Amino acid sequence: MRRVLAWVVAAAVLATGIVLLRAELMTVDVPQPEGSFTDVVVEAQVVQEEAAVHEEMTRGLVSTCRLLVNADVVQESFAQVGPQTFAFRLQPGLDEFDQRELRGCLRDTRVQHLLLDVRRLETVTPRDRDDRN
Amino acid sequence: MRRLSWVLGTVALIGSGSYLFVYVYRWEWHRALLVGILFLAALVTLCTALVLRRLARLDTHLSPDTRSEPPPGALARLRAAPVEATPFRWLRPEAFDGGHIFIPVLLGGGVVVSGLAWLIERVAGSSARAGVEEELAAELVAVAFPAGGLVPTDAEALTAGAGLAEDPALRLLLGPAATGVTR
Repeated sequence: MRRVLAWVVAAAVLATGIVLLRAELMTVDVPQPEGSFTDVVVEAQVVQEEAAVHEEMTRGLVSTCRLLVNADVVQESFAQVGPQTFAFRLQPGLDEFDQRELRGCLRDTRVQHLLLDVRRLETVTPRDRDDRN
Repeated sequence: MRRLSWVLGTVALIGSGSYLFVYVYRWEWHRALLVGILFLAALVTLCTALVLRRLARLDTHLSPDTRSEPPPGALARLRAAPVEATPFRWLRPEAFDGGHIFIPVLLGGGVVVSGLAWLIERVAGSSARAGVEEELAAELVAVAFPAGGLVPTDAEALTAGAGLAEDPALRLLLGPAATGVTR
């Protein structure tokens, strides 16, 4: 009886995991309104490298990850806003699924000795700007 | 120590499996790959350990314990037992169930067959020799010496006496008799 119960629990956990993964990894292209953009702020931590290469390594990772979501970094938008913090803007804006993919790519260990933490990732549409104003 | 190893292996398996799920959930594929390798390694290690443990249990159940002492008196009973010394027991009538007689029959059959083969070879050789000799004699007739010997004929002797042997062609045709050379 205990063995059957254990198998049932394991099967339930597996099924729940598969459902969660399916929901989270789903990629649906949601068209964004024209003029929308996505602001991203990341904090970079570099080990075994000089501090001068922070920006270069971060730019490389951003260039790689923006290819996954098919969005361009707005020219001259990449800027250092803190000691190890960088901000950039992507256009067109990313939908919810692309935001997940970009966040995962930026936090992943794609570039050796570089770890990025996504502090802010927000898509702003023209309607959002009007509401704020 | 063994229990601790099992606990550590299980914790590593569960932990790496959980992190594998989390990293895939977060779209962090590189981390997921690394943790997936750890998960596979822990899984293979645990499965191998389980199989080896099961084999060790089977080995313990099946193999006799050689470290224990033999039962008391066993050696004396073995030495006191009568020694059976019946030669060719397989030839006894009660043992004739077909299987025991196979090898002697095989050996005897081999001897009989060899004798027959030797006899056939001798008969065939003696009968073939007469025919072969007659055929060889008939073939040798073609290269046998002439019945009249190697004496020159009258025509050859006449040709040599008339001085016609100077002709090289005729001399070659007539042979040594035309030149008067004899051995």
